[in-house]
Amino acid sequence: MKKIILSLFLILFSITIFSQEKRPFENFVYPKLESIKIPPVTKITLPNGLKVMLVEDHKLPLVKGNMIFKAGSVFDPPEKAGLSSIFFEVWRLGGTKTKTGDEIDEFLESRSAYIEAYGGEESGYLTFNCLTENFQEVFPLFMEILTSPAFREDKLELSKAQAKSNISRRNDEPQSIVFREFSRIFYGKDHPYARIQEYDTVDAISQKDLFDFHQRYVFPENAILALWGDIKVKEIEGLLKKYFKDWKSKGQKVPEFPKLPEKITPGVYFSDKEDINQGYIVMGHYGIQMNNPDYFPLLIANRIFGHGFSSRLFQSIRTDKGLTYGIYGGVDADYSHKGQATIYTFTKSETVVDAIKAIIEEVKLLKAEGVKEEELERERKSYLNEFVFNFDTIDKIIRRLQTYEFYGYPEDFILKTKENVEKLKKEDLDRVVKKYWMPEEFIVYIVGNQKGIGERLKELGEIKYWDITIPKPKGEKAPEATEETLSKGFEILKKAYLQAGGEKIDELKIIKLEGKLTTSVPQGNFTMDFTSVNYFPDKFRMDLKTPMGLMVQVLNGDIAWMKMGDSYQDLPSSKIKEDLQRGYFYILKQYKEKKADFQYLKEENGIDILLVKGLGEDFEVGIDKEGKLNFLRYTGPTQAGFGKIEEKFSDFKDIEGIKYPFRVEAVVDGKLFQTIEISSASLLKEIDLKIFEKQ
Amino acid sequence: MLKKLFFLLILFSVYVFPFEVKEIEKNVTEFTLSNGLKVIIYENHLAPVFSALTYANVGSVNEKVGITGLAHIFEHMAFKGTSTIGTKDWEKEKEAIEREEKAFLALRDEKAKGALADPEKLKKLEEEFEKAKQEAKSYVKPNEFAEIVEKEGCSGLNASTSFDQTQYYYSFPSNKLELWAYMESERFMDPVLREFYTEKNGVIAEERRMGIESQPVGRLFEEFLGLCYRAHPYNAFVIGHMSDILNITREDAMNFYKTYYTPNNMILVLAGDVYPDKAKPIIEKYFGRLKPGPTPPPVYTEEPKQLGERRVTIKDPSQPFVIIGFHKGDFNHPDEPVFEAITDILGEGRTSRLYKRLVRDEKLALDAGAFTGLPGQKFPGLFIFYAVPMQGKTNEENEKAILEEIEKLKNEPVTDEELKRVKIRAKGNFIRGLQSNMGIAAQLAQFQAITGSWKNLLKEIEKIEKVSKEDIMRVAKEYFIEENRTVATIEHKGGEK
Repeated sequence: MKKIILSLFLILFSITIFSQEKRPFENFVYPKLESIKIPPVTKITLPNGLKVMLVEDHKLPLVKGNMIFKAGSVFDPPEKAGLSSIFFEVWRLGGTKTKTGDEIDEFLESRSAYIEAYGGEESGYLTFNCLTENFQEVFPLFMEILTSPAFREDKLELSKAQAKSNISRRNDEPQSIVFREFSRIFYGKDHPYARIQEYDTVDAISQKDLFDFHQRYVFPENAILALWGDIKVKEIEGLLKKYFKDWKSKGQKVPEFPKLPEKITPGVYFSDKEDINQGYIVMGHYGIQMNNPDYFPLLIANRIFGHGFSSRLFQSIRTDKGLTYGIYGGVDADYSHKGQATIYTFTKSETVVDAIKAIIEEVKLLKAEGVKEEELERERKSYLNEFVFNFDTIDKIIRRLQTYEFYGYPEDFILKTKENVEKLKKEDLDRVVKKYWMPEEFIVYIVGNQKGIGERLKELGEIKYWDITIPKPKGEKAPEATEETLSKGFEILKKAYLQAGGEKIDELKIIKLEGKLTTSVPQGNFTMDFTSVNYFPDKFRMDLKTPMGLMVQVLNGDIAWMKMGDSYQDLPSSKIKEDLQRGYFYILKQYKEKKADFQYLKEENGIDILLVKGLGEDFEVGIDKEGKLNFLRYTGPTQAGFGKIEEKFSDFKDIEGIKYPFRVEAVVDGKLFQTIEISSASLLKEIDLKIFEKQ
Repeated sequence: MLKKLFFLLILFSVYVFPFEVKEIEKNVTEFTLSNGLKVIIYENHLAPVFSALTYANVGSVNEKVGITGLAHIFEHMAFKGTSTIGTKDWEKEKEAIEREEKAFLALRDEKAKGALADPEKLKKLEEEFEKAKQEAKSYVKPNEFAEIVEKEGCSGLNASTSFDQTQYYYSFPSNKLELWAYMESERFMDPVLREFYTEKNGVIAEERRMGIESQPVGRLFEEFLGLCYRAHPYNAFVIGHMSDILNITREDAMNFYKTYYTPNNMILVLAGDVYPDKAKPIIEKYFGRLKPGPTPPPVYTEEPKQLGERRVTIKDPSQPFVIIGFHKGDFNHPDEPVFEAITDILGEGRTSRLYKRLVRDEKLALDAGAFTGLPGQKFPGLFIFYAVPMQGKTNEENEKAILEEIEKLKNEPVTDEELKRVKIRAKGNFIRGLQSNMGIAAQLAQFQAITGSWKNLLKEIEKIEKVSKEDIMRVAKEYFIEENRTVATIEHKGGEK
């Protein structure tokens, strides 16, 4: 027994020696860190109610200013989503009453100075940054933009066109999709914290909206100005009083921030992106507001769980399993409302399911076992040791103070945080991780390549397909419908109905077509054979022989899918349905079914044009004097994004007393891009419904 | 209404000194250790913190066929610790690592047989490798290096690899100088490439998928570079080819380390609250332990002159994008300041020609610009123009407008106003570059490594001030010609996403 104890002692002793020799840093004694020299922050409130914060910092010959407003996208009217972001852009670009935006650009850039405006969710900014030698001329310009902007039309048009281009590009990169759409799933598409600009909402924004916005949000009591750098506080105070003398509030009132939805809808959501070989994943539920005392234990619990190199998620998912390059997770806090508790990562298609499962295991483990004493000590020490980096630049200090002031947090909130972190106990952390992490309540959202992930996706449970298709613009506004144009339209439809077969159209139930589909691409034409079955009103199947093999596309009520080789892919059924409703018989059947309005618009080269409303997005149909359907015009997908498509009908033949066009040509911008030639058409009474189901 | 706000730790102090570029020189101390390690210290005592940057004069440009991506792989491995940091039992771990290495080689060799590989054998080798990997892992204390420094208040621990160099950086409270010196010297003196295959074939492969394969513009730039360079190693992206990433061995990485990570091929830069007289003995004590080696082999390959325009078009579900590149000289070429001026005139800010014409007036592009510095600066690089077409506008329209602007540059002198702006902005940008310790450290290291002395940083503004209208016309005529041009585009194909 003694011998064992002795050898144990020896082992312990030798380890100690090893450690001192080989790990000398364990015995380093560090000098005391010098206290931080924080220059004083002068806070004043001007007679007009504007709060100002001033700091002198003469290290470099730069002066900086930042004015923050309570104004942002959460206040956008739904029909004008995007207003706030366009406002802030045109505020600066649109110039002032005396100078155009272009003149301001020239002025600033020949002084290496900046004045910029940005709009966020809950706040917007007007900022400047210049060399000391230019401050006396840059600041008056800043004032002029602040108080008398012009929002010139040309810059509004530019900004709107750019916003629309950005909309067209918003599904190009998976990272931006995954965060944007997670928010939309989380809060709901129409909630102010998730709502995004669309073609139509951008189109609806006018110059008057920008002036109204300025009137509503830009006033002294709704702003906080921070001004710092190479200035003399005493001199500046006088200057500011002079400059802001005439800028007054007019009794405006800014609304409270919108309330968040009480509940979210947990589940697994998926969007397909065919050109990537990874899955991008965000999962989570609500977090907390920063004024909640649980913020302090969560701050450290988050570091242990999912922030940084030493965190559990990093160790497990990245270092140990090699599943990702980036992972981040925590119960996050926002200033004005509950934040989100989320985990974000990405991994190759084949391991998407494994990564999600492994992450959920980590959450469960954290909840079940809490944190370890040494994890708490490590992260507490790390937090306290790096605390000095909260004060190493004046920029950081003043921006933080401005944010605290904006959201009504105490100015020493960061010091309170530190005090609280010093006091934390393991039980505090264990309690909050148990309380806030609820993996069974997760919304799990994946942007990935469905083909690459394959059938394994189902291991995650029921998958909800999340449509990220960019809504089309409504296009030019049609004239208001009147009783007269509606009845005239209906008369013309009647002529077409009778011409095409009258009551036989009503009786038509199933039509089967065979033929060729030719697509024109820059390399030449591709011709493919196809068979299609249309079972009115809501079943459709097409078998297309592509160069890559047979492709089957099916709509069956609310379900739509595609099959290529052996793999199935779900499709958004609403879009397929809409496509079908824009079909020849569907339109004619409306004479009896009356689900749609046919508004007479005009006559063009002897063809009457009707606007069809009620069959999905509005579209136009052209009917000639004999009553033959001549063309359809609608906005749809083309090789160059969304564009105006015209489908021309010709080669009408008779099938059992019904007239049907055996040739359809789709034209975009005057160029032919698709042709359908029918070789045989037959009307059926019955068909095996199995063809509309996955085999 | 006037209220002054004091924090608990406030110690009132205001520094006043007029700004002069030359002043910076007074804040810099440099010395070289006997092993050849160059050290540069920039003093800034405004806050009790410092930033540290280790500049290894090696990048993807030093790789050869078969080992592309290795410079970056080593960068990742430099966070894995040493024989005393990151291990539970080094003796046993060492043996396990050797077994893992053997198992990987056997598996790799069998896989390399391609269609002729024996599936049974492959399966067996796969299992053996997996087993050896797990065993080696069982001795690892994961991420201990990071844990030690982060616990002591390190902030912003990271590293980056580029075509020309590998940089390791972090910031510390200034009382932790000795810890930094120990840890930083230790990891380059005694690196252990543990978890090598998980990191490389897992993490780094994901990094490649994220940065290139799942990113439309990443895919485009990879095609573009491959087209611009057919001989010079600037032709492969820093991340490397996927097959190389997967097949590189630990031995490859150790050989690379031994060749390039010698103190005579590295530079240390500290910026912040560091007193050189106190820091020097500490740096000597720890970094003096690094053993010097032979001067690493230079890159001999030169890119042959391009003989005709080169083009590539990617058909992609994403929206259009166009880049146009022209070969030019390296950073030390006398024409470089002229290119900097051209960058400014054509592509910087809202007064630049490309913005005014393509973005503002003709609404051809959502964004358009020009830049220099890619792929790298040590060797002849590219001058690149790009445009992001507006919805409904094409790459061709944008390309045409850019080429017209280039012709204008050749045939008409730029205006006085434009040239003046270049010079003023060079000064402004220089001053703004001094706002962060890490920013200063990076600049000093780059100039030291690429131009031979950090002091050249201070001469940059002067050089740009000397650029004339004639220089700009001459350079445009000489370089921006059809046979020196490479164009890469993304064309949108079908679908709606």
